[in-house]
Amino acid sequence: MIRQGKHFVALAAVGALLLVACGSDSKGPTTTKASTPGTTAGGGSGGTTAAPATSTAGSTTASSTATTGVSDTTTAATGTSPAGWTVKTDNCPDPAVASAPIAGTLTIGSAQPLSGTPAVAFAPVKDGFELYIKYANDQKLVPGITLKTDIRDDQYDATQTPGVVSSLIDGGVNIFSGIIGTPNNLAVRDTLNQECIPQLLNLTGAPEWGNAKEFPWTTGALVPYDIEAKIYAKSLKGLIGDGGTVGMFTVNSEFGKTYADAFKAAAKDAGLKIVVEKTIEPTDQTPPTNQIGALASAKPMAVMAVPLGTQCPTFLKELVNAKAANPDWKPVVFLTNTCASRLLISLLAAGAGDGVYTSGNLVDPADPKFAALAGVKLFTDTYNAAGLKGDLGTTGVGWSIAESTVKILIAAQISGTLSRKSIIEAARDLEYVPSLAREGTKYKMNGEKDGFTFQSLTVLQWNEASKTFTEIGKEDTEYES
Amino acid sequence: MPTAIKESSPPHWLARILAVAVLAALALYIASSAKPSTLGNITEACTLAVAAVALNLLLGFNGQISIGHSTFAGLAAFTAGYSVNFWRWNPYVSLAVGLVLCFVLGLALGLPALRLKGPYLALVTLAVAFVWPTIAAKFLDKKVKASTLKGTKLQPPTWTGLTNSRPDRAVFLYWLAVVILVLAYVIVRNLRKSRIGRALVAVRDNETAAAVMGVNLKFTKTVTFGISAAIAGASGWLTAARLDRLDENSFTILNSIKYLLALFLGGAATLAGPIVGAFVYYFVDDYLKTHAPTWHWLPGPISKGPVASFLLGTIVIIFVFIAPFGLVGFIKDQVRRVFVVTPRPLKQAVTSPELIEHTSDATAAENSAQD
Repeated sequence: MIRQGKHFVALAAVGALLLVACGSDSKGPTTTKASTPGTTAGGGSGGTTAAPATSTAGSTTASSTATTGVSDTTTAATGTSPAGWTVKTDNCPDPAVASAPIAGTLTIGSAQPLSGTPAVAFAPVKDGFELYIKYANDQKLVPGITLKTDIRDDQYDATQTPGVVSSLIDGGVNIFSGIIGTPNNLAVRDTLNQECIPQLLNLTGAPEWGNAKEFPWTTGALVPYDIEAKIYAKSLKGLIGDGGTVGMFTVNSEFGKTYADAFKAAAKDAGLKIVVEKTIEPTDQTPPTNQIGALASAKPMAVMAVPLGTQCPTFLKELVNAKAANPDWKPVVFLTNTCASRLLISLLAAGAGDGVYTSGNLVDPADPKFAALAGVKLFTDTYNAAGLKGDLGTTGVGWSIAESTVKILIAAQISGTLSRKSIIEAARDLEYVPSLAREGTKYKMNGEKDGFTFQSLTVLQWNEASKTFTEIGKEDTEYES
Repeated sequence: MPTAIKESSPPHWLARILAVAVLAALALYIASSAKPSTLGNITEACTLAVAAVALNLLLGFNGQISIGHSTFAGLAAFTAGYSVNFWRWNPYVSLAVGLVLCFVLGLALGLPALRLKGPYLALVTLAVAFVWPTIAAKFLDKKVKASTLKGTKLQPPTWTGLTNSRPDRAVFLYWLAVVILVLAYVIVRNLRKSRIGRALVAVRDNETAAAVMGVNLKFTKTVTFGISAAIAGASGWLTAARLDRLDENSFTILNSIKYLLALFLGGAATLAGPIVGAFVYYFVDDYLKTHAPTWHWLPGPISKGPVASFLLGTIVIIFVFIAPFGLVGFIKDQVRRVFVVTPRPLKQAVTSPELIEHTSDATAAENSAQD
């Protein structure tokens, strides 16, 4: 009797708590907060050497020619002209430090998930980043400067990122680049802006990174999620027609919420109807069987999925199971481009990604059709020579972010003095075509007028048989400001 | 043969004073010489230690397991973040309110603990830890209308002479964490050394015997849960003071597991154990995360994977075998080979004739009342 009583009390208490947590939400699923990194981003021009700068009114044009034949044209502001965007340093702890020339060694710091579950998806970013920095040093891309990286583990835990960043600042890091995760970047944005330290190319697509007025020292690397959502809604309308029904599956985080809100608005404009919404907690690694079952019950014509990291393959596998159980349900599936890596969409999904739509603005370096591109060749040769084994696409993201960082440094150096101030000014007043970019993609920022680096995407479809992404139409550049 | 020192004898007091003086000097030295990031690390370790001290009171001294202490920390942190940012409360007022809320929630959770023990109680507290992120997410969604809640941005008061620069703020938060940790320690120590503390241990060791001896089980267990929850809340408040942003993932079940690990690494049911354990856990973890990924001499599958987590887990498993009673227990065992502190002799029974007479009268009155 006593034992039964204990069981009852325990179960009653657990049940009551779960009811408190889950109940009273008759409006359906909720989406919320937290995170996300990304696996697509722009890059720089592979293997360039800084060429003599030609000064024009308000800007300096630096033509760069790659040692391997890659070439591009970069336009960078001098930071001294009335047209160029300048950052105020009056409120910096020591304005002189922000403007002080950086000589000898420049250290780039970052916080990324190098251990724990998220590391499975994102650890190769570090390898790619370091690979390009080594290449840049070998090629002396930033004359007179030796680049150093100090990338530390925050386990994708935003409560750990401030500590990591603080120790990197004390360690003498000059700039930050490629910090992964929306909450992780948010956790250090105030500090880095107060300290006047550039926080470049955040590996997340949160629209907050475009706020150059309030947070001038922070920039993002991925296409903002609201733009990505708009591009998907537009593409979906073409596939399922006006009035088509859509089911949404989103991670219950900042990333998922931003995405969901943007997609709902875009879907409304496009005349699509959201009929069911389901969410998954960011830390939940179990298969979302119930959520996908609920989607299948509603039988929407399309599914818009925004899972996080290794939730991408588990979502795809569950979807295959649900489709097998409901043979008459054949939805068009769109997956956020943070899942658009060979590792997540194919290897870990065990083939369940076939036919799934996503997007990207970098070429897939593992796709043979891009092998002849000079930028891809340089990257894959360097990758192979270094004996790396991580996912090629994800490593390419790290390579691209480092490439963009170096491109910014070159532009800053050309402007006169390489300092924290000139680096952020160069980052916000730069235009160039990255070497791993798809046709139509370009890094383009213009002070406070255009606070986003990349704003165009190509819709892609994964083909499991050929293990390649097929382009669906041309790059959508409508939102590039 | 170890040297015996009588408890509360002059040499014992001297050793105690020396230990306190060394710790105080160390704290001052660190504050004056460490980099802001090091101070930040120590602040984080202190925050973990406060939570481990709270858990020690409940689990170590009272035998009630809780895997839900992250919820108390989260509740106090969110109370602070919301009240300071939306209602413009003084951060220290938010601390007081947060502690009261945690105490009340702790009391409420203590109620099922009256009927439940061991795995059943663990199950209830586990559920509490699991539901907190969902509650926090809903709160952010409905009340904050944002994905994150700002921290309290606690600034050094002007009388400290510190500014709001990163180095000065690090010093301030460091001292704040040290003071709160010392207060938590003193509260638990005084409780443990008092009559209440003996009741706690009696309940832990044998509830029936404790009840027979006159210990009020309901009161003892629920109030202990409440006090422990309030101390854990102080840890959450410190987190809100330290971080720029809080979200629903700031206090998950992983935090509760860290508290437990810190407690058992240091030694449960010892006063210094949770503090030692928290510092060892925090700095070993930090060291491994910084250095282990570069240890390419490790065998392939280990060096290519999440090496820091793997090594930390391995160290904890090995440690449990070597020192099952924690670091403090291990150190005490070693020290006992050299020194032994012999307890004070029990006080003599009352022999005053007046008191004997008073006691006799009271007993006679009690007997007649029973008749």
